[in-house]
Amino acid sequence: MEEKTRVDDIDRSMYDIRNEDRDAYRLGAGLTPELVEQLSREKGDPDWMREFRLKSLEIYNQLPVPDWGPSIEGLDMDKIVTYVRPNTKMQGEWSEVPQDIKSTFDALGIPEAERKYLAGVGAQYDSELVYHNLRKEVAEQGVVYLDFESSLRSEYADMVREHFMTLVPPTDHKFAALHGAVWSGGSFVYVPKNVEVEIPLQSYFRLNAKGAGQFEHTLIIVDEGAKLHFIEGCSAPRYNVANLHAGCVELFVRKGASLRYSTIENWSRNMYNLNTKRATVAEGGTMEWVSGSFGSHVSYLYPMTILRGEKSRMEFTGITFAGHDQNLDTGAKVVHSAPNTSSYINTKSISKGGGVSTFRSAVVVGANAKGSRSAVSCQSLMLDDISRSDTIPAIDVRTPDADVGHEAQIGRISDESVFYLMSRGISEEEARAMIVSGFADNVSKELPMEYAIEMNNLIRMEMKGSIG
Amino acid sequence: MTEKTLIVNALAAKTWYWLKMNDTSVRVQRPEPLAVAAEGEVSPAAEPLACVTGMGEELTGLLAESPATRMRVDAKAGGAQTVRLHLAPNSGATEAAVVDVHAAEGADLTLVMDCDRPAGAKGATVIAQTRLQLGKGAKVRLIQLWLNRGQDVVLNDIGAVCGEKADFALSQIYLGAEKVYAGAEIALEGAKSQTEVRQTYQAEKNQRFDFNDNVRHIGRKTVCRIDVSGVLNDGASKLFRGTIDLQKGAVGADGAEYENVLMLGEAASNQTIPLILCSEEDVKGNHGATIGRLDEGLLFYLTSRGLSEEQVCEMIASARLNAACEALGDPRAACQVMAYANIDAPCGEDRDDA
Repeated sequence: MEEKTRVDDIDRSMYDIRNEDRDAYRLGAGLTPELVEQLSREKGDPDWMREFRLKSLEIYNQLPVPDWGPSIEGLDMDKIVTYVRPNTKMQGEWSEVPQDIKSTFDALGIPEAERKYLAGVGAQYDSELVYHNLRKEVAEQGVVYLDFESSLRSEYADMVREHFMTLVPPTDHKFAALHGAVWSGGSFVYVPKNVEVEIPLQSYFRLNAKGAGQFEHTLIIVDEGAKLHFIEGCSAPRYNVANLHAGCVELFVRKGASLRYSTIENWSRNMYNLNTKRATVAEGGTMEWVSGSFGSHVSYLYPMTILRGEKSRMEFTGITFAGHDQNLDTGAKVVHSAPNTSSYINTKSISKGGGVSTFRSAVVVGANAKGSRSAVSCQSLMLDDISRSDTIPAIDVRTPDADVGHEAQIGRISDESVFYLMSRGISEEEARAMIVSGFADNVSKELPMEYAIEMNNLIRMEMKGSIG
Repeated sequence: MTEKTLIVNALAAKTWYWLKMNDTSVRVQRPEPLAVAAEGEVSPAAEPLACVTGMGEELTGLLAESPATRMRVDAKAGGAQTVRLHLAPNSGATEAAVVDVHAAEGADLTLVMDCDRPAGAKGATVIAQTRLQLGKGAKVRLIQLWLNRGQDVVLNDIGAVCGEKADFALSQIYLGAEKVYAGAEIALEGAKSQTEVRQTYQAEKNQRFDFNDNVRHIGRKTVCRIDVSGVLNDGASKLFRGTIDLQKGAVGADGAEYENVLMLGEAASNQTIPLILCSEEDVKGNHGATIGRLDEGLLFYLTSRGLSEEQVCEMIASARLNAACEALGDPRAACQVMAYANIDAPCGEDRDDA
């Protein structure tokens, strides 16, 4: 009985709230130079940005669709609307956000989370931020947290221009080029030297419009000796047509700085999630990624870290849960480009109900990365015989003075474990859900408690009806 | 002399192109027949054995349209049988041999192939394709010794299909040749069939090794173990692709692959991509890789006993090769490798187990 109550508590309908399309403006579907120019005009871009968009579109048209990952044949770019402006300006108070949009974020628990344990929140609805706020005491520390469009017109405009799409250039791959052409929304964060932001900042991305794309850009600079935890959440209602998310995250971790970037991704099952995240870490800096991938129809997601400074380090902790009608291709990349750097990648993946989960990684240790160490551990759980789980880890070591280890396992839930729990009065379904939650423990223990609970609830929801 | 560019050693599932691991292109001339000296019973091949191989269709296509040497080894039940094939390429030539092995139900065959080239010989391109069909309960040990001194280029391609309870053991030692491209595709079709792949290599100077091992678990309760161990000196480089493919229906299958790479050369480089593909629930798949320098504790221990670092490295490399020779299970082959590597170890008649 208790199990049933818990499952009911996280009814999926909270993610499936669907508001009427009452947008103020939407671009026509497809991708042409004229549409990109129109978007640029609508957003009031500076000239350099307009030129950047057009150049990116040219690159997009030249680059091939990747043929090494899940099929994206169902994604027809001629039908995707790349810009939908909600019927409100960005607000600094929740009370000023239109009721239907506010209700959505209320259901997702964002305002409550902000009150309880966040230093600041940015809430994006379709292509623009509708709410953005930073706690006064955090702002007084000199922390800058702006919506991306405002950052381009702020005193930090030069800093933004200097960093924008330098870590992920439009030439990187087709969807990075697409992002360069039609990006909209997102956040800019700057944490000054030696400032430690004690509680996390969060951006939440909600895509409501049917057949639309979301292309937010997140740029974070954590200056020398500073510290930040940034949380990203995303969801969308389910439609019977494809939606697209091709966001871009660029993270600059300066000397001795520390950044943790946590994501719980729960896009709807009609979403193509082709997101690019990349960090560069200077001397003595630390980059930590915590990533939970639960939603979307198809995902390509491999946060990359470039360890550019001596003794810099990265840690990636991730979990992917691929259920029915999902093909989630996730993992991580790290490039060791300086001596005595270290990396640790620890992932879990679960496949169920015909879902396909692929762990893909790359560890590259350059010739100058002497004394570096890297360890990769990936574990996969198959919950039935109609699903699929692949691991594709690549290692490239160019110096003898390095230690690189890799281990991977694929298996199933042991009958003995289920029997043990059932012999203590737990139902089989609950026993299997408990085992899967335990399997995901590496991620949940790295998240703030409220997010860990949400993640465990997502797992329980996915496990509902897993028997028989 | 027509030259062709072949795409070989394609990864079982593609990944990012920038890693340059998805496949390898190699230019080869149309091969002439390769001289093969046989000890044991062989016959000319009549019908080619249809079998997917590790290096892929393009090499098979090239061989099909060339006058390669073709021979057949038949192993029948009724006692252990050993066949030895010595490959003797002509200097400067591109030559090929295709060996088809039919191991009947209950057969027990050891097939030893070697390419032991004299020092100072002008480089040759040697292409060998070995295709094996193992019947119910058949046992085949394929031992390959690639001891090509100098500038040789080796293309070594293997395909094996294992019937119920068949047991295929593949042991390969690569010490010479400037470039080695090697692929093995093993299909565990029959229930309870098993395979063990053991590859050992030592590379120096600018040697380049490019491997592609792919084991497909198709039958129930099939078992595989891939063990790859090597030493990279100087500016040598190696790419290892290893795939365990646990296919739907392979209930109770168990696949494992392990790699250990000791990097000793300042300019050495290593690429590794061990895949597990899985579409069956009730299976086990494991892989592990250790890549890097000599263990610091071991190095300290040995140097504190008066050995130089160079001596320690040589000793460790010799010990690894020694262990690989022991595991061959064929003293004559082991002696041949030890002699090639100038390793002073009990061999031939001096060995207790000879």
